[in-house]
Amino acid sequence: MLEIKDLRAGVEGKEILKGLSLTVNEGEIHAIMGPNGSGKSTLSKVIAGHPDYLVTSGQLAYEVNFKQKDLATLSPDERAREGVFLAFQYPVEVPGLGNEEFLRAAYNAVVRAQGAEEMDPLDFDGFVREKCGFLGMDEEKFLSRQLNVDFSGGEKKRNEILQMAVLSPRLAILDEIDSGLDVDALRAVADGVNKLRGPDNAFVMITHYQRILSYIVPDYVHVLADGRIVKSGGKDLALEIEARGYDWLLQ
Amino acid sequence: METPQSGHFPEVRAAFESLRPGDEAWLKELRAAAFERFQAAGLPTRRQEEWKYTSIKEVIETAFVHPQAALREPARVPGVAEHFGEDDIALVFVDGVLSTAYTRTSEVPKGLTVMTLDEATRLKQDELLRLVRRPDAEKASAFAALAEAFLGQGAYIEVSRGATPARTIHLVHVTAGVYERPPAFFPRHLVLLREGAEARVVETFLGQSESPYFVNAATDIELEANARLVHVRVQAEGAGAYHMSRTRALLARDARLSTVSFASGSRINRNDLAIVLAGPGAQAELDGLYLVRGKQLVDNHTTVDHRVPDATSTQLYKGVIAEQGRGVFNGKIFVREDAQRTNAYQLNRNLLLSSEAEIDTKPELQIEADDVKCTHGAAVGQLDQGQLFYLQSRGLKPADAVRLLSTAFVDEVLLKVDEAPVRERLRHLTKGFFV
Repeated sequence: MLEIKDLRAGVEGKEILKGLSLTVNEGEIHAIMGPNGSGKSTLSKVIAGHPDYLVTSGQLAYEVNFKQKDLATLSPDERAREGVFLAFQYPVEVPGLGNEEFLRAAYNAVVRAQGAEEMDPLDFDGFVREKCGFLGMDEEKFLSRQLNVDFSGGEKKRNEILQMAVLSPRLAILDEIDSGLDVDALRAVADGVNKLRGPDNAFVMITHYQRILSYIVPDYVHVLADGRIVKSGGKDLALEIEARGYDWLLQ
Repeated sequence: METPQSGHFPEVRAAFESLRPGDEAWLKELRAAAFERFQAAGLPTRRQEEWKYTSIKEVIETAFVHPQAALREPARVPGVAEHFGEDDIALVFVDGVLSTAYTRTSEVPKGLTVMTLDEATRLKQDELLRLVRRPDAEKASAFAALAEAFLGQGAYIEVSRGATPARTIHLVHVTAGVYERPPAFFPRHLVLLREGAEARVVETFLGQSESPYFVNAATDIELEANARLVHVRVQAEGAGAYHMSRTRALLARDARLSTVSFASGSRINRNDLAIVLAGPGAQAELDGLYLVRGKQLVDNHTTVDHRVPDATSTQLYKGVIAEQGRGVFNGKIFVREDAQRTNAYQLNRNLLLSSEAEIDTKPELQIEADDVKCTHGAAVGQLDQGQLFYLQSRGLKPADAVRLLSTAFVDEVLLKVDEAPVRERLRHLTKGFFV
């Protein structure tokens, strides 16, 4: 689904990813771990197409429904309409924009591109309430408010999961979805991700800590250091890092 | 009336003198005094501080005619009835004349007086003089003086003591006819709320024409003690319009005024809003939204005069300027020596959607009292890149993301309009702007 080869990318002329390779297939969950400044968040922004981050060389190949795409040539919105989703580490607040209105606009933009039928406000309201129910979210609390405005840290992350549920992406990048969450919020977010797992989609979880990986069990764990993946393994690698830290991997 | 520029004063005078010879002596006198003030003031130029950012050269160079008959007068005006609801009271003036087709004044509730200005000149002389003759009239601009001299058709609204009619009153002015030469109109509305009275008044100015026409509107509001007025002013003129307006409100003790000014139409639009807080405990909330694009210019000048202690004023004006549009905001707050414990707040925020868009914003505070709380701010900016990326990362095309974010920016002002149908109408006009 996603094949990254020898990717070099950076921001403001500074190279951060220095030859990163990663292959993600349908149905898999990959965890990317690494110390601060290793390039974890840069990787998520490069995949999503943040305009400040430039790819200088390497390959960012994406396959969806047997179609090959070069993500680097697509705009952020085109990537999203092709099924790429980034759950933000810091979800953005938009005063004045209703959460449900936003969700519907995003949903319709994506289904329109896929040739499916758009939903009117009434139908969408039923649809999104069902998604809230599925994720165990209090719909009144989430839908009637302005997008992320006055949301707690945990609510913002759960709102990202709700967006993911509404848009049903094929490839979801979760950028530190666990940061700043207490254990209840962490469990709620992890539950949501686990419910959305399926044989046709894949997740890349970017995290600093092992903690969330006991709730969302990854198939592969990669360690990112200085812009490259320095070690890959199974879920046990995360436990080893928890016990030993990163230093032994950075020699 | 020829072009109202100093070189053409004789023609303007001739037009003025031949206008409505049947007016009663007191009215003639009132209009003549205003005309003298107009002549003395002369038309504004950009050398004057009040007009520094707004050139009216184009307005001056256009030869307007008043009054004149339309070549074609439409029997129906599309879209007019959408501006008010079934249960509302509506006075609709088409090309300056009360339209019997649209006006709805049947079953006016007890305590509410609704009549045309013509009727009021016969039946409500004292009130009319009281509203029109204000001590600050001398300081009014040339356009305000001209509006008074040519005093056109409009509405007189009075709500008697303690009355709180539930129905919203709509005053609609539509320019719809086809004219041989650019027409000029001078709509004038008067609103008087007696002690403890309440009302909701929506003024709407519409036009269909892309060719030039001139609307010089004036509205006078007086709120007696404890009265409460919810007021909305909608300027959605045609693309060729020059729209000048002057709205005054005088608030007595504990009176409350909420006024929202919406401007999306016309080629050049200047709105002067002047509030006098003349009684302790008076509260005025002034909000505005201006949507400017193409070669449009919208200029809002507000003046809030705190003359007495313990009064409150809040202002939120927001502008979205696209293409080569130009916006001007000037907000004056006076806090007089006696006006202790004044609470005054003013914020002007602008969103520029193109590199050619321009805004000039200027708060002006004159504070003579020492125990006051005054805050003001002005901001000019582009759309937030972080918000744009967030929306795009959810599949929204850049143009749709811009539209959603701009709509979100203006919604804060639209939410100040309490009445849902009016708010929805404004949302609709806003949507049209962002398409």
